[in-house]
Amino acid sequence: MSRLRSARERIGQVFQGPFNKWLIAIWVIAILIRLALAPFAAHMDLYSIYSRAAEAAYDGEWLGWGSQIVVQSIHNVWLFILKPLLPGAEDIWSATAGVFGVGVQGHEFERFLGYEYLSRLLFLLKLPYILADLIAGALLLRLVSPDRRVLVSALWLLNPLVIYTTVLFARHDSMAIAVMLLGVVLATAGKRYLGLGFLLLAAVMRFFPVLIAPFFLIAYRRTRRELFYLASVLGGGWILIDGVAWGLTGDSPTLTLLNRYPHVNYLFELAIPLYRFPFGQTLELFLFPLVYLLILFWYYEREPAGTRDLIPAATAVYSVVFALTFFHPQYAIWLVPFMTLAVARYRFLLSLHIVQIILLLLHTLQWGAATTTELFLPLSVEAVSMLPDPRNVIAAQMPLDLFFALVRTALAAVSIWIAYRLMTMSYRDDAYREHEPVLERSTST
Amino acid sequence: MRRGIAILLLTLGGAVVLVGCSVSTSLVPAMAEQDGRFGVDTEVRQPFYSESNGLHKLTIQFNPEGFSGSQVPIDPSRGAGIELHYAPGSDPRFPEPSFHSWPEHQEWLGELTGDVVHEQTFCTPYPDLSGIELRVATYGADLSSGTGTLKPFETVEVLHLPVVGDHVGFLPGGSEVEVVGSTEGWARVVLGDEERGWIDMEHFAELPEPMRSNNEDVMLELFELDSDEPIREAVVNAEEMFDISHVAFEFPVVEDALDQCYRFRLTSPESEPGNAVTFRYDPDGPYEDGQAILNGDPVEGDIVFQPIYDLQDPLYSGFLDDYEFAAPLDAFEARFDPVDHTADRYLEVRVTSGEGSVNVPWSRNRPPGQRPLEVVGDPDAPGGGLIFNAAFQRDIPVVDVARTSGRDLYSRARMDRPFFAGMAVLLLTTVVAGGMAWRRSGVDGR
Repeated sequence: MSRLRSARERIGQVFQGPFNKWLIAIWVIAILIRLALAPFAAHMDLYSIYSRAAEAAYDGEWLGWGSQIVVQSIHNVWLFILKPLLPGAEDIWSATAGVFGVGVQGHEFERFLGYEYLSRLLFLLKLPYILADLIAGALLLRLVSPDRRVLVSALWLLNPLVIYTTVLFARHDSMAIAVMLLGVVLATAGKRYLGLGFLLLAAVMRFFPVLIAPFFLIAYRRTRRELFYLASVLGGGWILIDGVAWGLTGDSPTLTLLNRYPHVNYLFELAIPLYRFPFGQTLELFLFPLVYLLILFWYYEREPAGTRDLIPAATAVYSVVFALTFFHPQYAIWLVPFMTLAVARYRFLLSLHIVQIILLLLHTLQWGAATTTELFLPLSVEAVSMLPDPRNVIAAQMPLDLFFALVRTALAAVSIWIAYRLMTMSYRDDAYREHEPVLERSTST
Repeated sequence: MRRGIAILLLTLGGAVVLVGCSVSTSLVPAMAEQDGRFGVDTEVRQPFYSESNGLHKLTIQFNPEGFSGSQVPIDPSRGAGIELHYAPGSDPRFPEPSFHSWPEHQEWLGELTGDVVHEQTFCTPYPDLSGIELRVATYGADLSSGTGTLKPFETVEVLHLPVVGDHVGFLPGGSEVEVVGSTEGWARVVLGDEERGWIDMEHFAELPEPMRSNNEDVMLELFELDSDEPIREAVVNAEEMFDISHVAFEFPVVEDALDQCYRFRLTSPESEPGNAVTFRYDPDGPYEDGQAILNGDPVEGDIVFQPIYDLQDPLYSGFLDDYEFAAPLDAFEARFDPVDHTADRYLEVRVTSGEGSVNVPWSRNRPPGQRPLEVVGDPDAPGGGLIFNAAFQRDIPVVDVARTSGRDLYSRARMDRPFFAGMAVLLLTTVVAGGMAWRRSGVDGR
């Protein structure tokens, strides 16, 4: 009993205080939902990344896939550890998942779905994602005052966007989110450079943390000179790495990202044509980079300080990302972590975020059965085949393009409105009369 | 009050689950992009695969000359009609391959003599069954290799393939030509060192002597699946059959054949070895809704066959001028009473021109089923698809989905008992630990 009590106290320390009934209820429900759904749903993306990991775990090709090397390495090691628990699994993986431009074939995925221990496999493959979800939830609690923990826990752990991405779609993004939040928690606790290191690690894992890196630097700088040095080191380091890679391979990683990587291109999809070049191309004004830079300049001028000021800026940036760029539904999880913290401070955001969630879920229908009903193929292929494609249900009522344009427009409006309200409310001049320490040593909400 | 609302919602939810939901779904999410237009003075037909029952709306693009889309005339199609029919000819589920295809893995069953009985079970998704088409060989009863003479005074066209092949050339009437084989009632002729072609045997005044003669009746009897009383029968004398060709056994229409299963039996009581025909058989058994029974033994394979239908009445009939213009789609649409029995079948939209030609857009993207459009009397029509959509009033079998999911879940649990037992323990432990923590925790928000 005393062991149980001490364990409870240790967990309580993580949560910075004794339990609350509702907090327990939320965490238990969140864990139950994840455990119950994990063995029965997945997108082909999960099969794809673990098929590449199988090249390492089963064939010893640990560096066979060069893209997203940190995330891929985690999967490689995890599958290697799982091997003894997965009898006969060496033949279920895709041979072409690691071939750039080819990817997983339909018949390979069917073979995967027919694996005798599929439920066990899915549960184990998703386990790191679920743990990352819970760790991220715990880290979020370190960034709010105790009276907001129930709300923040509910907003993260029971958020449909999080459950969808981690458990149903089975994407690994929550791992990078946990690392990013760890960076913020560490910076909040005074370990700024360590925090920055984790933020950069998260950025290597997934692209999204890059977007808040400048805001992070500005929020946690002590002096302008330090900011200049840090920006120079990071910028110079980037240029150095890029230059070395260019010299060694003949290709610049940065230019390769810009020229080839579709996810980067999505940031530039929305553009206003300005004029035609003599050689026939059109000069365009990219909307997202324009708005992003405006937010950054505006933010810098307000002399933000610490986590308290990072949260609204990061929330605004991610809101603008999902307002002005093309994105796939599984990436919407990036909207959530800072939004939960922002909602904890400004309750009026809750209703707007709920609208955002509804619109994002409707937006997800754009990909039809592939991102909705077919996620449950591991449960029952036959049952899924009985369900209509959501796009066909919508198309029977109104033109599909009109429907999704309306949804997307509403989503952009709500998201931009959230960003605007956050920026104007959080950085009013009177909020800075009393300067807080640049680096907060305790949570401030 | 809250409890009352909760009970009401649960009751309604339960009712929905038990009764099943109905939802309107479209044939395709969006109409295909236009790749061109063509004028139709006759009739354009577009077969497509229908996944669902309850077809109740058609949306179709057409643009008469001079119609811009911004101002809709009263009679935009000038009296054009639109109909919906079954299209069994487009249905690939039966073992009959395309007309000219004679896959090598298929084989002949052997002579259908008096002591041989071949049967095949099948189900028909369409009504008005009126016959069975089979593939037959007569062991050279048409002709043997040698020299044939064409009828005088008529120039004869030579085709690349029998019946519907491309043009190869012409031969003058009365000329002699080397014949090396026959199929579908067409003789294969040698035109030059390398060149071969096909001529309809009717154009010959004289052909090389046949290798043999078959002259006994071949009988096809149709039975309901579990009955021994034939409901239809058709007889074709072996003399009327061509070597390596299709043969149709036609009988009075079975009107209520929709979704019924039958068995047909092939016999030729008077035939003897050397005076008998044979039928084509596919040992791979490509047909899922039936099987062959050869001399009383059910086997894996199928007799190569295709049901014949005498479909007359359309499933739906209307006039395009009655359709309403849907501006966002740049198309015309109409709703009508749901048509039953459209699920898992091939249907066909037919647009018949009225007083003037109808200007029809087409797309390289064909509708589900991937069948090309056909224009009556115009073999050069584009090989793409008509641009249209349909909507179905479809039941979502909630109970079946739940039952199937439960069955598959149970099956998975049986296959991996240690995992599911562990999972049950984990879930239970989480609940118990949560419950204990709940009991010991505070309530003040801390």
